[in-house]
Amino acid sequence: MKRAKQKPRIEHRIGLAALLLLPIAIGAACVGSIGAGASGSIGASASSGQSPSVPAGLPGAASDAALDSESAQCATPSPGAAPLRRLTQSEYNNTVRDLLGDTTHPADQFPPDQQIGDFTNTAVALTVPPLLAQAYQSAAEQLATTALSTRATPLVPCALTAGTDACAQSFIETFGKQAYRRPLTTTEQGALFALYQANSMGATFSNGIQAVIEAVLQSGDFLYRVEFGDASQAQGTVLPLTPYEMASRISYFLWDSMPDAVLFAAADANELTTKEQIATQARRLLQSPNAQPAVQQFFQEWLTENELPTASKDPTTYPAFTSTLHTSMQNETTAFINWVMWTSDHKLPTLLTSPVSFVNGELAAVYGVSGVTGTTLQQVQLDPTQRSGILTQLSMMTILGKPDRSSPVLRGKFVRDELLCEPIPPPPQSLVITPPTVTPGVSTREAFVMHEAVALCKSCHALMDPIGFGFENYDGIGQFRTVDQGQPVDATGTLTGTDVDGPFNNAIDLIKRLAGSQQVSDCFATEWFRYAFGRGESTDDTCSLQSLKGAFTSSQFDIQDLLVAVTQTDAFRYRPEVTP
Amino acid sequence: MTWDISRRGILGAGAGLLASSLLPRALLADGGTPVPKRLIIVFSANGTIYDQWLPQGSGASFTLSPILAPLAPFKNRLLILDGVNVQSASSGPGDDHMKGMGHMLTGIELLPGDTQGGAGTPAGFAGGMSIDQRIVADIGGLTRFPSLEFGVMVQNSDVWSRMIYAGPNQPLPPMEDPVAAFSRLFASSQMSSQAAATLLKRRQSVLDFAQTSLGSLASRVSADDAVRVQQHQASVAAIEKQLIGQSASCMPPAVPTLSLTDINNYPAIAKVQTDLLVAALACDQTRIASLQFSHSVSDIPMPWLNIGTGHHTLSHTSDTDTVSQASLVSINTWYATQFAYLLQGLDAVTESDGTTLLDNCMVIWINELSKGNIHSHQPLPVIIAGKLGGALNSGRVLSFSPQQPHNNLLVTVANLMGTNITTFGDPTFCTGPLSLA
Repeated sequence: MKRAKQKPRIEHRIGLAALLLLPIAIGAACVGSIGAGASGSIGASASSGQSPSVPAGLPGAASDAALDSESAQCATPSPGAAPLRRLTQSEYNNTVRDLLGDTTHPADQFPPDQQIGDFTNTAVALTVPPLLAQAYQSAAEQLATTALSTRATPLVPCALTAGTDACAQSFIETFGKQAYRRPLTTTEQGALFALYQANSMGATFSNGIQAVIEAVLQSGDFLYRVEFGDASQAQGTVLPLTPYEMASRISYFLWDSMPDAVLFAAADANELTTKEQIATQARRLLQSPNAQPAVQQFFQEWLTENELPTASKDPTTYPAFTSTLHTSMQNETTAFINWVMWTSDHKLPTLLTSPVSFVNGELAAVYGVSGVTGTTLQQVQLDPTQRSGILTQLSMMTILGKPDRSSPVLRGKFVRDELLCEPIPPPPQSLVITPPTVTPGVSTREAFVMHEAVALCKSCHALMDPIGFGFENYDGIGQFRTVDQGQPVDATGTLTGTDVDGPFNNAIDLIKRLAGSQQVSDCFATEWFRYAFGRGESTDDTCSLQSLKGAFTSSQFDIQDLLVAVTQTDAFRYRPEVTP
Repeated sequence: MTWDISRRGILGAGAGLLASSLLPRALLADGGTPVPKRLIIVFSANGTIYDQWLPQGSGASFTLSPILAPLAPFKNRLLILDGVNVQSASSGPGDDHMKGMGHMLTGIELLPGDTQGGAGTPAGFAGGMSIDQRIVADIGGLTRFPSLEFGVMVQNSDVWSRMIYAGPNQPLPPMEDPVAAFSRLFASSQMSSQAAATLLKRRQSVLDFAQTSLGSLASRVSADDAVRVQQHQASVAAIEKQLIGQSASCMPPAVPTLSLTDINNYPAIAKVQTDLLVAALACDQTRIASLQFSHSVSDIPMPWLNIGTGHHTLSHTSDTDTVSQASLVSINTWYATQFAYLLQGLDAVTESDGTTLLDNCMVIWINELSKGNIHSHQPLPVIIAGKLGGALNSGRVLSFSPQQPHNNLLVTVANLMGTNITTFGDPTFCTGPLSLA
């Protein structure tokens, strides 16, 4: 099972008693952070509370404002940092699938990838503690055993019972190139051959080959995506990637896996150099089924869908929340994302506004769709006056809900953080913060009204709660409602601090505004940038981000085109010189 | 379950590959050599209800509190510390849960990063090693595993969920799957000695190769990247050492297969992870272990206590909300029951000198917070159980006035385990060891 990052869902309400003791000045936390332009420059003030010493390579190292205000000189390539990247769990699973034909997903048994920030592929967080090193060892042994007992042909170019040194040499050369994703040096081949000899002597040929496979699978060149760039083409301290490094970049970005034979052939022929050559390969990979889980991974993490499996709800409040519904919710969202990306028009507005979804009998019952029974998901149109795209699906409303009620704060915060790229500064520390408990007869909106009454709360919660109230038609597991605690639901509000400010009647209205927002589409492009490179953006990435946002806009927000555009950036095509 | 760690007991159970090399060296000594000291750290989250936690009375004359009532059988082997202050958490990045968790065993600020909590500036992982790993540096080499980390539905892998650190930005994840933990600790082999020797040779040569490969990589990449590759090298070195005795078994407990996402299994997973921890120590596979329940900010409900609201949500309720406060007392009492089960397991193991494993342990139960609804880091609820071979003068409530920075506690723990240090973490908060003897 994939267990990925999960940010604790924290709400705040500051107790009145504590408020009285507070210095008034703290109340200014969010003042001045409203009023962003179309380019999302609000990020500057929102991040001003961050530590000034955020190291390069971490998300948040530079504000959007700094990036945008810089007059971009994009004539010479500026790639930004390129930290060494260890294979993630899914990259490991897919790589051994493509290398050895093994579909057992051994990395599912690894300790979960450590997480800093939004995504589980942040390079600097991916260390190798002893527990993981041991898991690598166990996996390598099992993978090698399985491969030699079931797929020795065609993996090894001779019968295991008739092995020769020459056969071992040949195996090392071909298998090594696949596993290291580049040709081996003579020294590397020699070291592996010595390992083969040491383990076949006095034992069997097979034992020697087994040792080679195990060793390769635990080597640095396999477990990390090693890059040094092409020094012969250096432009100062900036280097283009070698063809083999580029082949790996393209395939790990779009397939979460090693290059296929076509990419290897292109690298062999030095045909991964120009933008056009790279774009052609990117488009080819995007049309493969292998792209689907890789792209799905981004959406799961961006939408925090990975929190769904461990979401707990109070069975008294939500008797409909059964373990099967819980699973179906997740399957629905996965199916919807796949539909948007690969069947529909792959556009961001479609993701946000389409009433299409995929339901089985129990989901249909919750959505009020008639005529669907059984456990298989079927494509349906949901009521467009009640549902709009990904945000109003049960899974999102469940994640962004508490065990026994909805959560305007979590919902508003999600929209600010993940759709508008405006992280909300946290409340002052060490206050009595008590979330409202469910009180019969008091609607959720009423319970949170305190935030508006107190200046200290309002300065930040004005950025979240009004958006969150827009989702009040959905309870803590996403069921549509018009009455909450006996009170009619009020889902009206006004969007502020964005490029699409204005009033809305409900979530359908609100999402329509967001779907037309340049700020949202720029934010989405930025999220993809972070995910693609396993790091946050920096001022060195100004040109890359400009080109990315521009290409996304020109394509009418086509996400497939956005992914191709990622491969055209300086950040993708170049890397800084490595100085040990 | 009772244990008999005698030479015959271990040999009888583990006559497989290289079994004799698993024999605990201290236990082999007939008389003379003292039984080794062991350290166990137990964590539960979200603070406690302090006045329901702190016993009535002082010194050796005290009555256990409602929350600690399950520990009654071990009352004379407890030290209850009143007045420990995680002062280091008054600065640095992170929200109060992140800081509580990350400072708890390291005593130093978190690294800056991009994990934004409910307050404070964004943080990365802890900025230094945890105290258990400092002790590991001295005695970890004596056993097959330098240390073992067990978790009970920790689930997340972020700064809120990691307490053990090999160094800055080097969190050590706990083993969360009992079946996998069992396999790592006790998997036995039916191989012939010839096949076993071939396997051992292959493993050693393969790990040597991996070590060389990583060394080469570390020398070629940037200095920042090299830090991570070097940690990887150290991890490979650690498992090379574990090759010895890998196939022996030593009276392991039964391990059921349990869904690791169903909250209803939380008590069952807690039990089996505790059994595995006790067995690992009883077999001297390690002398340093930890048991982490969930994670800081844990919002799990406890349906088996009829508590449907999440723990973290409850921990934020007002002091005057008597229903929620009662639930919090129930939750913390439940954790005390789990702690008592661990102590009971340790006490059932008889050592070579006739004492029990618990008599030679220091078992520390700690929390990332004191009081949940105000996120305070003082007074931290800390309990130390066991006698540590007589080094602990137990059966007392120790009240510190003024409060003591928790770095002093960390230094004291290290000293009692034989690690001679005078400061740990941020030296600003090291004003002198505590007297627990």
